[in-house]
Amino acid sequence: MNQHDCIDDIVKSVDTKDDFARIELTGEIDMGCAMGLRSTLMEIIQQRPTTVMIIMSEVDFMDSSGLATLVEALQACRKYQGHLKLIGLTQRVRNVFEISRLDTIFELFDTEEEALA
Amino acid sequence: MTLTKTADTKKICQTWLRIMANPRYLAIARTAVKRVALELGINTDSTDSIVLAVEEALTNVIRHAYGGHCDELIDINFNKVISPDSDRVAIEILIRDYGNQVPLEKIKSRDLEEIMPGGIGVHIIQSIMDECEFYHSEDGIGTFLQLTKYVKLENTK
Repeated sequence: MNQHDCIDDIVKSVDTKDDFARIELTGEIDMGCAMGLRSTLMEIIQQRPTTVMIIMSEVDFMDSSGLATLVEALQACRKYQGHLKLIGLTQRVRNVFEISRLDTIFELFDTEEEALA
Repeated sequence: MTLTKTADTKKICQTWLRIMANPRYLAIARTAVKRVALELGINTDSTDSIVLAVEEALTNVIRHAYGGHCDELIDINFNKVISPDSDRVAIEILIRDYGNQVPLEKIKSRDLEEIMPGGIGVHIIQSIMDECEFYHSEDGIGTFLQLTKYVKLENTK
């Protein structure tokens, strides 16, 4: 498949320090971007950070491809008892989680402060 | 929730969009679907949902009907159906591919109790749209997906 590599368009920043990783996403996450996002997340999770925070306040749209990528990331974190926290979901993106009944599976927070508390 | 079609039923605002089955063009399709829905007078919340449902359908076509081949075509047709006796309109979206005809009985949502990546596109579509029907083209080439969403007239322009 000729994947549209838009990973640079959706990963705004990546900060890793000690056992903590903070990834900020932006834009629209669809089938074209999901593979690249998966690679980026898995590369970070392979380092086994205790906490992976994904800031999604600037993510305007996400479909089930993006959701599948996050599920994979969550499963990878859980293998070593790591935490994957999603922060700042817009209602539009949260709706996708709710329809898929994954809103109770993920750790969702409105702000970074809440996630770090 | 249905809209009984009578002799006075009108089908208006027909819009037809053709895109390549390339993930690169999904963003274009989303923008087009959003504009068409808004033009048809659909409110923002319903528009967002319709955009997601169509996105999921297109993704499934790319992945399953075309096996990832990006040089194939997908047709999307929009209609607004109005019946004078009803307090609602029907937004009909017909998505047509020219790829492999997946057995219709295999096009279904999986068990959501199992937490795993993927396989929830059909569930999302069925959750959002009021009606969702897959049928094969009689010429043996490709599949149609008819999506229908009923919207109250008060929520349209």
